[in-house]
Amino acid sequence: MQAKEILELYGAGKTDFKGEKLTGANLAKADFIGINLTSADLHSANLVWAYLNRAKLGKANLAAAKLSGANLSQADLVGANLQDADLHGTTLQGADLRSANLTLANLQDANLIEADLRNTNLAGANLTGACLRGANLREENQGYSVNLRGATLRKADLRGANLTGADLAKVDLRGANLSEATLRGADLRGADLSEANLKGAFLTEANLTCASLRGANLMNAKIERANLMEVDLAAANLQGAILPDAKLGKAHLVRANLTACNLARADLSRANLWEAILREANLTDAYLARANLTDADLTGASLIRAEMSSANLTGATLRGAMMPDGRIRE
Amino acid sequence: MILGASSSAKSLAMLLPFDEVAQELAQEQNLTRIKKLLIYICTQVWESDRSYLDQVSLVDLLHDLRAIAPTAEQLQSLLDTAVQSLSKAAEYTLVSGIIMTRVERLYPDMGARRGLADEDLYRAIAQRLEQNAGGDRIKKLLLLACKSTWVPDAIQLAEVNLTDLIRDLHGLTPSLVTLQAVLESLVNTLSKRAEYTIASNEISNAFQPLYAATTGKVAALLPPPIDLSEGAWQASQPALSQAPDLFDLFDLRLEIMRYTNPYRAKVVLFSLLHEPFTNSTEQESMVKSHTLDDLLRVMLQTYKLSEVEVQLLSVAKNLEDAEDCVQAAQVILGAIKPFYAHLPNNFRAEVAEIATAFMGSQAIGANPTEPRTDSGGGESNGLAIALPCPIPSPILAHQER
Repeated sequence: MQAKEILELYGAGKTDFKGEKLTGANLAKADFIGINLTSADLHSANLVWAYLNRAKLGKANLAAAKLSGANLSQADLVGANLQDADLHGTTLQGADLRSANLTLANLQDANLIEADLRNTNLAGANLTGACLRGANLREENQGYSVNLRGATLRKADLRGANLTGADLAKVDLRGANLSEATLRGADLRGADLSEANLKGAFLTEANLTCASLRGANLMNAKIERANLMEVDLAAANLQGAILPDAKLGKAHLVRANLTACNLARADLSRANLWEAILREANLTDAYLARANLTDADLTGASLIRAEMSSANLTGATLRGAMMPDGRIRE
Repeated sequence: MILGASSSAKSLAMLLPFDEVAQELAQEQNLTRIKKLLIYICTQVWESDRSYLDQVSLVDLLHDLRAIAPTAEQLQSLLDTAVQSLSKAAEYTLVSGIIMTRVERLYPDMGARRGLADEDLYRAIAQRLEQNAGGDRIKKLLLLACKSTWVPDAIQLAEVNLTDLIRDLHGLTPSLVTLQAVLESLVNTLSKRAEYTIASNEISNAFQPLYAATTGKVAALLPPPIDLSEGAWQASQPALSQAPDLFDLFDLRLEIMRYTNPYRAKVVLFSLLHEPFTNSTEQESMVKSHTLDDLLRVMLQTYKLSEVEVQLLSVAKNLEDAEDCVQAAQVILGAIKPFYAHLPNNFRAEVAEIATAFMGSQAIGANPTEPRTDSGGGESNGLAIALPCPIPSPILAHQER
């Protein structure tokens, strides 16, 4: 079908174009609100600025399509092929993108507010500056989860997003907003979260091994039982964060602010806490073998039963701290 | 110079370096304090008799010093202990730093121990501070710390080699804590304390990698090198410390995205800040090379609300698909109004600083036909608007510092 033909038919009131072949068609700025293009072939089509609100595009082939500036709000894109598509600044608010293929797609500054992204493949996609507030990226079960391997989410807005169990290994999340996001059990190994906002985020049992969280804000974040081995948390703000039983072996916590942090039973062996602020922190039963606490501020901290016989406390402030033997330091 | 009696016993070979060091110390602005500190270390007496201080032989003091502290480590420890016991500890930290630097040749183990950093590191820090909106204040403060001189003249300041100052100050301050103490005490003597506190914080932040060297984490703490090549800004990560909430434009972006098309919003902003958008492929890729966040930041930095209200709409009206563009312009205006209301007076200067630090120095004038407005006042007037532009533009403006 030619572009002209579909435009005329749609103008005349026809909406059902299921399975139509429109490869490379120029449909820029077209008004196709509510159109049914299920399983249509729109490979490399030009749909820049098109109105595709509530369009049915399930299983459509939109590979390499140009959709920059298009409006796809509440569109049905279940199982659609959007590989390498240009979705720069596209509105996808409330769109259903379950099981869609968005590999290498450009979603820079796209509006994905409340979009359903369960089981979508976003490997290598560019989501810089994209807004994903309230988007659903939750893992339903093994094998049905969003894939963000190698994706760029720099400065992306993921506030309150559900990323339970998501695969975010090595993902670029620098400066991203993940406040109040649920990242329970997520795989964040080697991810770059420098300067990210993780205020009040849920990171329970997440795997953050070797991740970079330099200068990140983790105030009041829930990080129980998470794996933070060799994580880089230099200058990060962890005030009031909850980290009981967290594994922080060899973690780099230089100048981190851990005021009033709950680190009960945490493994901080070989961690570098040089000049870290641990005022009023709860380190009950913490394991501090060979931890470097040089010049750290442990004022009023609780160190009851903490194992710190090989910790380096040179220059550390321990005023009012409750020591492993229960005695309070003057 | 008259040699003291105790020096006659010293070998001839040792005379020259002692003489040289004494002569160099004699040139220092802080000579009296240097002498006071040296006497204190050598005799445990705090000498304040002016005539005695004028007469005392530096060479003698240096010989005594060498005898009391045969290694650089011992000397540093002696100096540190002495300085800590003084009421003007910050001032005397600098004096102690000068002594340590000057007596270097008397202590063969000094060079290795002090471990002055790599020249590239000093240059990288200089570059970072050079790009700072408060660059002049930073220079003034560094000069005050290193040379005890106050240079208010902009032309003189421009000639100052920042790398040299950074190296000098690093040599004078053994740790970050010391540096901060020194800067704080200097700032307290100045009238514009708030402004210079910001400058002092910038210096401390920039100096961090130098002191991190002792923990073997230099590379990790080093701010990413600023690559000035075209397009490279995208790959570079912000070298900012804690980004305050003020620069968090997430809510603003959300408000705009909810009620208009993000691409349309970018097109309108691009047209305001750069040139009217005509749908050319070249412009498309330029719009793509800036994020909505970047464009909003530059707009907030460049325009007052009263100006943007007029200009954004007039720009939008003249674009293709004017109706959609005007709608986008109105959404942007509606979203930024409450935002402007909460901006502190110096916000624009601060954003400029952030933008410059974030995007590197590849700055283009956003709207060179319009006079640059800057409510921030003070020293940020000459600051370039840092809209990174990977594609050569016909309206590429003068580089500003």
